Amino acid sequence: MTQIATVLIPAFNEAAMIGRTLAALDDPRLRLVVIANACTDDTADVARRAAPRAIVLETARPGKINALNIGRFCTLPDLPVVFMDADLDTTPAQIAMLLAALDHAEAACGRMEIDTAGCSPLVRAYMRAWTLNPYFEKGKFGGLFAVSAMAAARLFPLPQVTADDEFIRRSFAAEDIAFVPDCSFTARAPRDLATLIRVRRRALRGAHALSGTGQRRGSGARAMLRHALPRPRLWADLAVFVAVMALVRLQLALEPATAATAWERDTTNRPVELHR
Amino acid sequence: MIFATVGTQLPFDRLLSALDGWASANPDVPVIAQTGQTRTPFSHLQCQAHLDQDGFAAMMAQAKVIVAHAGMGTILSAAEAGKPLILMPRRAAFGEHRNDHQLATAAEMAVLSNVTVIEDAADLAPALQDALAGGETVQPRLPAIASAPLLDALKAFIWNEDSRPIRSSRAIGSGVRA
Repeated sequence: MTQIATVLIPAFNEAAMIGRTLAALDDPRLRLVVIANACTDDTADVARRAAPRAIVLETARPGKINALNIGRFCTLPDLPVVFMDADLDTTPAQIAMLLAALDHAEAACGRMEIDTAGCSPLVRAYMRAWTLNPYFEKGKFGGLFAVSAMAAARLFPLPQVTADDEFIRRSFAAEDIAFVPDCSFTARAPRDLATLIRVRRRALRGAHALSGTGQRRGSGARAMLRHALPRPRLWADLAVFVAVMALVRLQLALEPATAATAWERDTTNRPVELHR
Repeated sequence: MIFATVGTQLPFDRLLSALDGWASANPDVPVIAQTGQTRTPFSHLQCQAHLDQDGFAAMMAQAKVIVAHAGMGTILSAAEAGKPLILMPRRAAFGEHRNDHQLATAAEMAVLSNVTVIEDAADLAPALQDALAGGETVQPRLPAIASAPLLDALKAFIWNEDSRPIRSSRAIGSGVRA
Protein backbone atom coordinates (compact mmCIF):
# COMPACT_ATOMS: atom_id res chain seq x y z
CA MET A 1 0.00 0.00 0.00
CA THR A 2 1.26 3.46 -0.85
CA GLN A 3 2.41 5.36 2.18
CA ILE A 4 1.25 8.94 2.58
CA ALA A 5 3.12 10.36 5.56
CA THR A 6 5.38 9.74 8.53
CA VAL A 7 4.01 10.33 12.02
CA LEU A 8 6.68 11.25 14.57
CA ILE A 9 5.68 10.46 18.14
CA PRO A 10 8.20 11.37 20.84
CA ALA A 11 7.51 9.55 24.09
CA PHE A 12 8.92 9.97 27.56
CA ASN A 13 7.67 7.34 30.04
CA GLU A 14 4.37 6.94 28.23
CA ALA A 15 3.87 3.22 28.82
CA ALA A 16 0.48 3.95 30.39
CA MET A 17 -0.74 5.99 27.41
CA ILE A 18 1.02 5.05 24.22
CA GLY A 19 -0.61 1.67 23.64
CA ARG A 20 -4.04 3.28 23.26
CA THR A 21 -2.61 6.12 21.14
CA LEU A 22 -0.89 3.77 18.68
CA ALA A 23 -3.61 1.15 18.49
CA ALA A 24 -5.95 3.84 17.16
CA LEU A 25 -3.41 4.84 14.50
CA ASP A 26 -2.57 1.46 13.01
CA ASP A 27 -2.83 2.00 9.25
CA PRO A 28 -0.35 0.79 6.62
CA ARG A 29 -0.51 4.16 4.84
CA LEU A 30 1.14 5.84 7.82
CA ARG A 31 4.68 5.19 8.91
CA LEU A 32 4.64 5.54 12.67
CA VAL A 33 7.96 6.44 14.25
CA VAL A 34 7.97 6.37 18.04
CA ILE A 35 11.03 7.81 19.73
CA ALA A 36 11.20 6.62 23.32
CA ASN A 37 13.57 9.06 24.97
CA ALA A 38 15.19 8.57 28.37
CA CYS A 39 12.37 6.24 29.38
CA THR A 40 12.60 4.34 32.64
CA ASP A 41 9.42 2.40 31.95
CA ASP A 42 8.61 -0.04 29.12
CA THR A 43 7.29 2.58 26.67
CA ALA A 44 9.18 1.03 23.74
CA ASP A 45 7.94 -2.50 24.37
CA VAL A 46 4.35 -1.33 24.83
CA ALA A 47 4.67 0.62 21.56
CA ARG A 48 6.04 -2.39 19.67
CA ARG A 49 3.23 -4.59 20.89
CA ALA A 50 0.53 -2.02 20.11
CA ALA A 51 1.82 -1.26 16.61
CA PRO A 52 4.08 -4.02 15.24
CA ARG A 53 4.54 -2.05 12.02
CA ALA A 54 5.86 1.04 13.79
CA ILE A 55 9.53 1.94 13.96
CA VAL A 56 10.28 2.26 17.64
CA LEU A 57 13.55 4.05 18.32
CA GLU A 58 15.11 4.32 21.73
CA THR A 59 17.56 6.90 22.91
CA ALA A 60 19.09 7.50 26.30
CA ARG A 61 19.22 11.26 25.75
CA PRO A 62 16.20 13.06 27.20
CA GLY A 63 14.22 15.74 25.41
CA LYS A 64 11.46 15.99 22.86
CA ILE A 65 13.52 18.04 20.42
CA ASN A 66 16.31 15.51 20.46
CA ALA A 67 13.76 12.73 19.96
CA LEU A 68 12.22 14.49 16.96
CA ASN A 69 15.67 15.09 15.48
CA ILE A 70 16.42 11.37 15.72
CA GLY A 71 13.02 10.37 14.41
CA ARG A 72 13.45 12.45 11.28
CA PHE A 73 16.14 10.02 10.10
CA CYS A 74 13.28 7.56 9.57
CA THR A 75 10.85 9.86 7.78
CA LEU A 76 9.67 8.79 4.34
CA PRO A 77 11.37 10.98 1.74
CA ASP A 78 9.30 13.59 -0.12
CA LEU A 79 6.24 13.00 2.06
CA PRO A 80 4.66 15.15 4.77
CA VAL A 81 5.60 14.75 8.41
CA VAL A 82 3.01 14.65 11.17
CA PHE A 83 4.04 15.66 14.70
CA MET A 84 2.01 14.04 17.41
CA ASP A 85 2.11 13.83 21.18
CA ALA A 86 2.05 10.34 22.64
CA ASP A 87 -1.00 11.00 24.83
CA LEU A 88 -3.58 12.08 22.24
CA ASP A 89 -6.54 10.28 20.80
CA THR A 90 -6.98 10.52 17.05
CA THR A 91 -7.42 8.29 13.98
CA PRO A 92 -5.82 7.79 10.55
CA ALA A 93 -8.92 9.38 8.98
CA GLN A 94 -8.38 12.57 10.99
CA ILE A 95 -4.72 12.63 10.02
CA ALA A 96 -5.61 12.10 6.36
CA MET A 97 -7.72 15.28 6.57
CA LEU A 98 -4.71 17.22 7.84
CA LEU A 99 -2.58 15.84 5.02
CA ALA A 100 -5.14 16.78 2.38
CA ALA A 101 -4.91 20.39 3.56
CA LEU A 102 -1.17 20.40 2.76
CA ASP A 103 -2.03 20.61 -0.95
CA HIS A 104 -2.44 24.35 -0.45
CA ALA A 105 -0.53 25.04 2.77
CA GLU A 106 2.86 24.38 4.35
CA ALA A 107 1.42 23.28 7.66
CA ALA A 108 -1.95 22.09 8.90
CA CYS A 109 -3.51 21.78 12.31
CA GLY A 110 -6.81 20.49 13.62
CA ARG A 111 -9.19 21.18 16.44
CA MET A 112 -8.14 20.06 19.88
CA GLU A 113 -10.80 18.78 22.18
CA ILE A 114 -10.08 18.38 25.83
CA ASP A 115 -11.18 15.37 27.75
CA THR A 116 -11.84 16.54 31.31
CA ALA A 117 -13.39 13.29 32.49
CA GLY A 118 -12.13 12.57 35.99
CA CYS A 119 -10.74 16.09 36.44
CA SER A 120 -11.35 18.34 39.42
CA PRO A 121 -14.00 21.12 39.04
CA LEU A 122 -11.30 23.80 39.03
CA VAL A 123 -9.47 22.10 36.19
CA ARG A 124 -12.73 21.89 34.26
CA ALA A 125 -13.40 25.59 34.85
CA TYR A 126 -9.91 26.47 33.67
CA MET A 127 -10.32 24.35 30.56
CA ARG A 128 -13.71 25.90 29.73
CA ALA A 129 -12.14 29.36 29.90
CA TRP A 130 -8.99 28.31 28.10
CA THR A 131 -10.87 26.94 25.12
CA LEU A 132 -12.42 30.42 24.66
CA ASN A 133 -9.03 31.55 23.46
CA PRO A 134 -9.39 32.46 19.75
CA TYR A 135 -6.26 30.38 19.38
CA PHE A 136 -8.57 27.36 19.66
CA GLU A 137 -11.08 28.62 17.10
CA LYS A 138 -8.27 29.09 14.62
CA GLY A 139 -7.01 25.64 15.40
CA LYS A 140 -4.68 24.50 18.10
CA PHE A 141 -1.18 24.31 16.72
CA GLY A 142 0.26 21.84 19.15
CA GLY A 143 -0.27 18.23 20.08
CA LEU A 144 -1.01 17.22 16.50
CA PHE A 145 -0.07 18.97 13.29
CA ALA A 146 1.33 18.19 9.86
CA VAL A 147 3.94 19.93 7.75
CA SER A 148 4.76 19.45 4.07
CA ALA A 149 7.84 17.52 3.00
CA MET A 150 9.48 20.76 1.92
CA ALA A 151 8.69 22.47 5.22
CA ALA A 152 10.03 19.46 7.14
CA ALA A 153 13.30 19.64 5.19
CA ARG A 154 13.57 23.29 6.22
CA LEU A 155 12.63 22.75 9.89
CA PHE A 156 15.05 19.93 10.69
CA PRO A 157 17.21 19.71 12.65
CA LEU A 158 15.14 21.53 15.27
CA PRO A 159 17.01 23.82 17.67
CA GLN A 160 17.02 23.08 21.40
CA VAL A 161 13.97 25.00 22.58
CA THR A 162 11.41 24.03 25.22
CA ALA A 163 8.35 25.19 23.30
CA ASP A 164 8.78 22.90 20.31
CA ASP A 165 5.23 23.20 18.97
CA GLU A 166 5.28 26.95 19.38
CA PHE A 167 8.65 27.20 17.66
CA ILE A 168 7.33 25.29 14.66
CA ARG A 169 4.13 27.35 14.55
CA ARG A 170 6.11 30.56 14.52
CA SER A 171 8.31 29.24 11.71
CA PHE A 172 5.35 29.67 9.37
CA ALA A 173 3.53 32.79 8.28
CA ALA A 174 -0.08 32.63 9.52
CA GLU A 175 -1.38 32.32 5.95
CA ASP A 176 0.76 29.23 5.34
CA ILE A 177 -0.96 27.30 8.15
CA ALA A 178 -4.22 25.61 7.24
CA PHE A 179 -6.79 25.07 9.96
CA VAL A 180 -8.81 21.92 9.34
CA PRO A 181 -11.86 22.16 11.62
CA ASP A 182 -13.02 18.66 10.66
CA CYS A 183 -9.83 17.14 12.00
CA SER A 184 -10.24 16.73 15.71
CA PHE A 185 -8.07 15.13 18.31
CA THR A 186 -8.50 14.74 22.02
CA ALA A 187 -6.04 15.70 24.71
CA ARG A 188 -6.47 14.39 28.23
CA ALA A 189 -6.49 17.26 30.72
CA PRO A 190 -4.47 17.08 33.95
CA ARG A 191 -6.62 15.72 36.76
CA ASP A 192 -5.81 18.29 39.44
CA LEU A 193 -4.99 21.96 39.63
CA ALA A 194 -1.45 21.55 40.96
CA THR A 195 -0.51 19.45 37.93
CA LEU A 196 -2.22 21.91 35.62
CA ILE A 197 -0.18 24.74 37.10
CA ARG A 198 3.03 22.79 36.64
CA VAL A 199 2.26 22.05 33.00
CA ARG A 200 1.25 25.66 32.26
CA ARG A 201 4.43 26.90 33.90
CA ARG A 202 6.49 24.80 31.54
CA ALA A 203 4.53 25.96 28.50
CA LEU A 204 4.87 29.62 29.42
CA ARG A 205 8.54 29.30 30.28
CA GLY A 206 9.11 27.74 26.87
CA ALA A 207 7.19 30.50 25.12
CA HIS A 208 9.21 33.15 26.99
CA ALA A 209 12.44 31.47 25.96
CA LEU A 210 11.28 31.63 22.35
CA SER A 211 10.78 35.40 22.43
CA GLY A 212 14.56 35.64 22.49
CA THR A 213 15.09 33.53 19.37
CA GLY A 214 13.90 36.06 16.80
CA GLN A 215 10.71 34.09 16.23
CA ARG A 216 7.37 35.74 15.58
CA ARG A 217 5.39 36.39 18.78
CA GLY A 218 1.97 34.83 19.21
CA SER A 219 -1.10 36.99 19.92
CA GLY A 220 -2.10 37.52 23.55
CA ALA A 221 -5.14 36.52 25.58
CA ARG A 222 -6.86 39.91 25.18
CA ALA A 223 -9.29 38.62 22.57
CA MET A 224 -10.25 35.87 24.97
CA LEU A 225 -11.12 38.40 27.69
CA ARG A 226 -13.15 40.42 25.19
CA HIS A 227 -15.16 37.30 24.45
CA ALA A 228 -15.80 36.36 28.06
CA LEU A 229 -16.49 39.74 29.67
CA PRO A 230 -20.00 40.23 28.17
CA ARG A 231 -20.98 36.68 29.22
CA PRO A 232 -21.47 36.50 33.01
CA ARG A 233 -21.87 32.71 33.09
CA LEU A 234 -18.23 32.48 32.01
CA TRP A 235 -16.92 34.76 34.74
CA ALA A 236 -16.27 32.08 37.32
CA ASP A 237 -14.36 30.02 34.76
CA LEU A 238 -12.48 33.08 33.70
CA ALA A 239 -11.59 33.90 37.31
CA VAL A 240 -10.05 30.45 37.72
CA PHE A 241 -8.18 30.88 34.47
CA VAL A 242 -6.86 34.33 35.37
CA ALA A 243 -5.89 33.19 38.86
CA VAL A 244 -3.94 30.23 37.50
CA MET A 245 -2.18 32.34 34.89
CA ALA A 246 -1.37 35.05 37.45
CA LEU A 247 0.08 32.44 39.80
CA VAL A 248 2.10 30.86 37.02
CA ARG A 249 3.48 34.23 35.93
CA LEU A 250 4.31 35.15 39.51
CA GLN A 251 6.15 31.87 40.00
CA LEU A 252 8.09 32.38 36.81
CA ALA A 253 8.96 35.95 37.75
CA LEU A 254 10.32 34.78 41.11
CA GLU A 255 12.22 31.93 39.57
CA PRO A 256 16.01 32.29 39.39
CA ALA A 257 17.19 32.42 35.76
CA THR A 258 18.87 29.04 36.02
CA ALA A 259 16.01 27.24 37.80
CA ALA A 260 13.86 24.34 36.77
CA THR A 261 15.09 23.07 33.50
CA ALA A 262 13.31 19.84 34.44
CA TRP A 263 10.41 18.88 32.20
CA GLU A 264 7.26 19.69 34.17
CA ARG A 265 4.57 17.43 32.95
CA ASP A 266 1.26 15.89 33.72
CA THR A 267 1.75 12.65 35.62
CA THR A 268 -1.84 12.48 36.90
CA ASN A 269 -2.99 10.98 33.62
CA ARG A 270 -0.22 8.47 33.46
CA PRO A 271 0.61 5.91 36.14
CA VAL A 272 -2.75 4.49 37.14
CA GLU A 273 -1.42 3.44 40.54
CA LEU A 274 -1.32 7.05 41.71
CA HIS A 275 -5.10 7.22 41.69
CA ARG A 276 -5.75 4.08 43.64
CA MET B 1 13.91 -1.97 9.88
CA ILE B 2 17.28 -2.30 8.17
CA PHE B 3 20.06 0.17 8.88
CA ALA B 4 22.83 0.64 6.36
CA THR B 5 25.99 2.61 6.91
CA VAL B 6 28.93 3.18 4.63
CA GLY B 7 30.64 5.67 6.91
CA THR B 8 30.51 9.40 6.40
CA GLN B 9 33.30 9.95 3.91
CA LEU B 10 33.80 8.04 0.67
CA PRO B 11 30.77 7.05 -1.39
CA PHE B 12 29.93 3.36 -1.72
CA ASP B 13 27.25 3.31 -4.38
CA ARG B 14 27.79 -0.35 -5.31
CA LEU B 15 26.41 -1.43 -1.93
CA LEU B 16 23.73 1.24 -1.68
CA SER B 17 22.43 0.57 -5.22
CA ALA B 18 22.10 -3.11 -4.41
CA LEU B 19 20.24 -2.23 -1.22
CA ASP B 20 18.02 0.23 -3.08
CA GLY B 21 17.07 -2.55 -5.48
CA TRP B 22 16.24 -4.86 -2.59
CA ALA B 23 14.20 -2.13 -0.87
CA SER B 24 12.14 -1.50 -4.01
CA ALA B 25 11.20 -5.18 -4.05
CA ASN B 26 10.49 -5.19 -0.30
CA PRO B 27 8.55 -1.97 0.36
CA ASP B 28 7.28 -3.19 3.73
CA VAL B 29 10.74 -3.10 5.28
CA PRO B 30 12.02 0.43 5.99
CA VAL B 31 15.67 0.89 5.07
CA ILE B 32 17.51 3.79 6.70
CA ALA B 33 20.93 4.59 5.26
CA GLN B 34 23.85 6.73 6.32
CA THR B 35 25.28 7.31 2.87
CA GLY B 36 28.26 9.60 3.37
CA GLN B 37 29.17 11.78 0.43
CA THR B 38 27.27 10.56 -2.61
CA ARG B 39 25.44 12.28 -5.42
CA THR B 40 23.45 9.23 -6.39
CA PRO B 41 19.77 9.30 -5.41
CA PHE B 42 18.43 6.09 -3.88
CA SER B 43 14.70 6.41 -4.08
CA HIS B 44 13.82 3.45 -1.88
CA LEU B 45 16.15 4.23 1.00
CA GLN B 46 15.80 6.92 3.64
CA CYS B 47 19.16 8.54 3.16
CA GLN B 48 21.15 10.80 5.42
CA ALA B 49 24.66 11.89 4.50
CA HIS B 50 25.58 11.90 8.18
CA LEU B 51 23.86 10.82 11.38
CA ASP B 52 24.85 12.30 14.70
CA GLN B 53 25.95 10.00 17.51
CA ASP B 54 22.49 9.74 19.11
CA GLY B 55 20.84 9.06 15.78
CA PHE B 56 23.41 6.42 14.85
CA ALA B 57 23.01 4.65 18.20
CA ALA B 58 19.21 4.72 17.94
CA MET B 59 19.24 3.25 14.41
CA MET B 60 21.72 0.54 15.44
CA ALA B 61 19.54 -0.38 18.39
CA GLN B 62 16.32 -0.60 16.40
CA ALA B 63 17.61 -2.27 13.23
CA LYS B 64 16.91 -5.95 12.73
CA VAL B 65 19.87 -6.23 10.37
CA ILE B 66 22.82 -3.90 9.73
CA VAL B 67 24.29 -3.65 6.22
CA ALA B 68 27.66 -1.93 6.00
CA HIS B 69 31.05 -1.51 4.47
CA ALA B 70 33.82 -3.30 6.35
CA GLY B 71 34.65 -0.39 8.66
CA MET B 72 35.87 -1.25 12.15
CA GLY B 73 33.66 1.35 13.84
CA THR B 74 30.53 -0.21 12.38
CA ILE B 75 31.68 -3.75 13.10
CA LEU B 76 32.29 -2.92 16.78
CA SER B 77 28.98 -1.05 17.11
CA ALA B 78 27.05 -3.94 15.59
CA ALA B 79 28.84 -6.46 17.82
CA GLU B 80 28.10 -4.32 20.84
CA ALA B 81 24.43 -4.09 19.87
CA GLY B 82 24.34 -7.83 19.17
CA LYS B 83 22.93 -7.35 15.66
CA PRO B 84 23.32 -9.45 12.51
CA LEU B 85 25.74 -7.63 10.23
CA ILE B 86 26.18 -7.98 6.47
CA LEU B 87 29.53 -6.63 5.34
CA MET B 88 30.56 -5.74 1.82
CA PRO B 89 34.22 -4.68 1.68
CA ARG B 90 35.14 -1.64 -0.38
CA ARG B 91 37.45 -2.39 -3.30
CA ALA B 92 40.26 -0.18 -4.52
CA ALA B 93 39.73 -1.52 -8.05
CA PHE B 94 36.30 0.17 -8.15
CA GLY B 95 37.63 3.40 -6.68
CA GLU B 96 35.79 2.72 -3.41
CA HIS B 97 38.81 3.13 -1.19
CA ARG B 98 42.50 3.89 -1.47
CA ASN B 99 43.47 0.28 -0.90
CA ASP B 100 41.97 -3.15 -0.24
CA HIS B 101 42.37 -3.22 3.55
CA GLN B 102 38.60 -3.75 3.92
CA LEU B 103 38.97 -7.12 2.18
CA ALA B 104 41.35 -8.19 4.94
CA THR B 105 39.13 -6.75 7.68
CA ALA B 106 36.07 -8.52 6.29
CA ALA B 107 37.94 -11.81 5.97
CA GLU B 108 38.98 -11.63 9.61
CA MET B 109 35.56 -10.56 10.85
CA ALA B 110 33.78 -13.32 8.96
CA VAL B 111 34.54 -15.62 11.91
CA LEU B 112 32.16 -13.62 14.16
CA SER B 113 28.81 -15.34 14.53
CA ASN B 114 26.82 -12.20 13.67
CA VAL B 115 28.77 -11.37 10.51
CA THR B 116 28.07 -12.37 6.92
CA VAL B 117 30.54 -11.17 4.30
CA ILE B 118 29.35 -10.64 0.73
CA GLU B 119 31.54 -9.99 -2.27
CA ASP B 120 29.15 -8.28 -4.63
CA ALA B 121 25.65 -6.94 -5.18
CA ALA B 122 24.14 -10.25 -6.27
CA ASP B 123 24.86 -11.76 -2.84
CA LEU B 124 23.00 -9.08 -0.90
CA ALA B 125 19.40 -10.26 -1.33
CA PRO B 126 20.01 -13.85 -0.20
CA ALA B 127 22.12 -12.63 2.73
CA LEU B 128 19.36 -10.24 3.77
CA GLN B 129 16.67 -12.90 3.50
CA ASP B 130 18.76 -15.22 5.67
CA ALA B 131 19.43 -12.54 8.26
CA LEU B 132 15.78 -11.43 8.41
CA ALA B 133 14.60 -15.04 8.61
CA GLY B 134 16.95 -15.46 11.58
CA GLY B 135 14.09 -13.89 13.52
CA GLU B 136 14.60 -12.83 17.06
CA THR B 137 17.67 -14.95 17.75
CA VAL B 138 19.65 -12.94 20.22
CA GLN B 139 23.21 -12.43 19.12
CA PRO B 140 25.88 -12.50 21.79
CA ARG B 141 26.39 -8.91 22.81
CA LEU B 142 29.91 -7.61 23.10
CA PRO B 143 30.18 -5.87 26.46
CA ALA B 144 30.90 -2.15 26.21
CA ILE B 145 33.50 -2.46 28.98
CA ALA B 146 36.52 -4.70 28.58
CA SER B 147 36.96 -7.51 31.10
CA ALA B 148 39.75 -7.30 33.66
CA PRO B 149 41.76 -10.20 32.12
CA LEU B 150 41.61 -8.54 28.70
CA LEU B 151 42.77 -5.24 30.15
CA ASP B 152 45.61 -6.99 32.00
CA ALA B 153 46.67 -8.73 28.82
CA LEU B 154 46.62 -5.42 26.95
CA LYS B 155 48.59 -3.68 29.69
CA ALA B 156 51.15 -6.48 29.72
CA PHE B 157 51.46 -6.19 25.97
CA ILE B 158 51.80 -2.42 25.95
CA TRP B 159 54.28 -2.18 28.85
CA ASN B 160 56.28 -5.29 28.12
CA GLU B 161 59.94 -4.38 27.43
CA ASP B 162 60.11 -6.62 24.38
CA SER B 163 57.14 -5.08 22.66
CA ARG B 164 57.85 -1.43 23.47
CA PRO B 165 59.01 0.32 20.30
CA ILE B 166 62.25 1.55 21.89
CA ARG B 167 64.29 1.57 18.76
CA SER B 168 61.98 3.80 16.83
CA SER B 169 61.83 6.38 19.66
CA ARG B 170 65.63 6.38 19.84
CA ALA B 171 65.78 6.87 16.13
CA ILE B 172 63.51 9.90 16.43
CA GLY B 173 65.62 11.26 19.31
CA SER B 174 68.88 10.91 17.40
CA GLY B 175 67.22 12.48 14.39
CA VAL B 176 66.38 15.53 16.49
CA ARG B 177 69.91 15.82 17.81
CA ALA B 178 71.47 15.46 14.41
